[in-house]
Amino acid sequence: MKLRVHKTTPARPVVELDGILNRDTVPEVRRALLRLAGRKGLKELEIDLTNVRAMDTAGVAVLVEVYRLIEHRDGILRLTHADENIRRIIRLACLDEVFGKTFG
Amino acid sequence: MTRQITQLGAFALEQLAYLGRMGLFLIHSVRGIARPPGKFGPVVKQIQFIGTRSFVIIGFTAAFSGMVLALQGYYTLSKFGSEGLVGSAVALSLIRELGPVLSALMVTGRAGSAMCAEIGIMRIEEQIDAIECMAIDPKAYLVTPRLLAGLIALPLLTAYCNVVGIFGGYLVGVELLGVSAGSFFDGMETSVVWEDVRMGIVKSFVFALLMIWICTYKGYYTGVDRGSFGAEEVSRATTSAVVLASISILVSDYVVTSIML
Amino acid sequence: MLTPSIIEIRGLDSYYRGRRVLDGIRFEIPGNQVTVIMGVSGCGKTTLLRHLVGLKPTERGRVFVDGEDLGGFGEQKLQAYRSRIGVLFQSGALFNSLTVAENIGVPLKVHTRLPEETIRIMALIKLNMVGLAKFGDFMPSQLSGGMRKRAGLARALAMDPEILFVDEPSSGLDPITAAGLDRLIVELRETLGMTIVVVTHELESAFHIADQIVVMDEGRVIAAGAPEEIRAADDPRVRQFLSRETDLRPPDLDDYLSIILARNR
Repeated sequence: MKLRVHKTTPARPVVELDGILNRDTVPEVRRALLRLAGRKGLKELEIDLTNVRAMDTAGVAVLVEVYRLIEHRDGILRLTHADENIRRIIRLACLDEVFGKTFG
Repeated sequence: MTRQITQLGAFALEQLAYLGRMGLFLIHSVRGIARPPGKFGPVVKQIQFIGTRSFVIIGFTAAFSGMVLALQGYYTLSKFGSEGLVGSAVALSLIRELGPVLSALMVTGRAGSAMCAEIGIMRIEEQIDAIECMAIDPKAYLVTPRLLAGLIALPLLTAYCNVVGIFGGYLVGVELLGVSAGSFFDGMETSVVWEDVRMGIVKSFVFALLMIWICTYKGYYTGVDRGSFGAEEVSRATTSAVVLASISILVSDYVVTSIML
Repeated sequence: MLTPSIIEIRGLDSYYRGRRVLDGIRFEIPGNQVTVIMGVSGCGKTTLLRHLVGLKPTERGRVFVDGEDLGGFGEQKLQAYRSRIGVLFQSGALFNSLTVAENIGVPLKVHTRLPEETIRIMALIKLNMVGLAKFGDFMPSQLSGGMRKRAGLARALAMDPEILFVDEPSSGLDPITAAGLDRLIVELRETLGMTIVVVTHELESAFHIADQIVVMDEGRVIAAGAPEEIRAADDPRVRQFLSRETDLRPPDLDDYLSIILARNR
């Protein structure tokens, strides 16, 4: 699991995840994601899921944590390039209403 | 004739298998120290369980045992005109003998029986099977924390039992019967030596090991031998656990004393 | 669709206290499909399940998981296999001293390094799947039998297992909840490609969810195949089971008569 941060502007960083986001890899990236999401002055966080080959419930859970943190500060979370498998697992968790809007 | 011999042989083999399984159970439980899940939280929880269950009752038992020891000791010692030694008599009997035994028996009755029942219910409700199917070692999960907690809690409860017992003896000996406080404590200080304390500590460790071992074992195999998993099996297991644990405590008390004397 | 079999059972016998409870069981459990094992109570289906999850020792050469002999698994291999499976027991088997959400977190807490908060969210996601999102902080004793069973299913799903074993999912549930569970089982197969083995005696739900049905009677497999094949089977015992006929002359009538008439055999 790799995590790359592109800073287009400090208020709108883009995180690119690479690998498998599951219960074994979540502990590695969780802290970095939460630190980013909790940063002051953040308006919008984009998580690019292009290279996420698979995700399990732990992955969904960590996205929920990120979402909570951002929503709390009136920011926006965008999940981009989620493939059908990822959407499916999010749908199974009944979180498509929450994350559905953020897909783009 | 041959039939009787066969029966005897079968009985002996059965008992041997039983002992073997008990031995393996202990080995697996000790091995569980090195296996997940983490032990710190569960051990603290179990110490609290043992402590809160037994604290009050041990206090009671200890106080009255100390009081009756002082009463009896005073009566006996006054025949030789040495009532002043009542303090040492109380302290020695408690520290070497009664403290460890009484605490162990009380903890068996309060916490040991509850442990056995708790694990027994987990057996009959398929919870132990569920633990196995989660790829968790059920002995490491259920037994090891209790074993560690027992080994920590019982010596502490024994020390507490001794203190309360000596205080009870003080109440009767000094306040009621009029022995001077000075000779009560002075005699105690000179007659109680490290060997006495050490014996008490060794005993409480041995008792803790036996008690938890037997109680968790009986709970763990509730109904397994009889192949029935009804609620009555839990009460059967609990009763036999308490009886067997109490007997083992008393027998091992004699053994430890005879070895250490 | 052809899917490779995950579990192959090749002539499994099982004895309980000298009595034969399984007799030459032989069938395959294909991957990514729902296999329903059906039969009346006492036909040995729960015993079969206990063999498949490694709770009852299996003779060598009888059960193969991905081509490997389950009976020959050492402790490590068995643990590895068990970390791929989830099991729902008949009673739910929740731990009484933990809340419902904590129950679901147990396997995650032991097997992963995930922090508590993430585990809690995962537990809530699983609870929501079985319709118990609001009951995470309840103790098992505060739930009804059916709710406990659903919570048990949520716990079986906690580790996102490849293979899910379910013992009597709908017994003791009201029809609506039972239908909801059936839908969940189908959905798990469709979305996650889970391999699911269900043991049940509920005909309706069996035909609803199954890709393959195995009918057992007195420790034997008397029919196995797709639901349509089972429906069309002409084995009288299968027909009898499907039409819910009761036996007019029980097979052990002779035993019964000799007992009640105190005949000495």
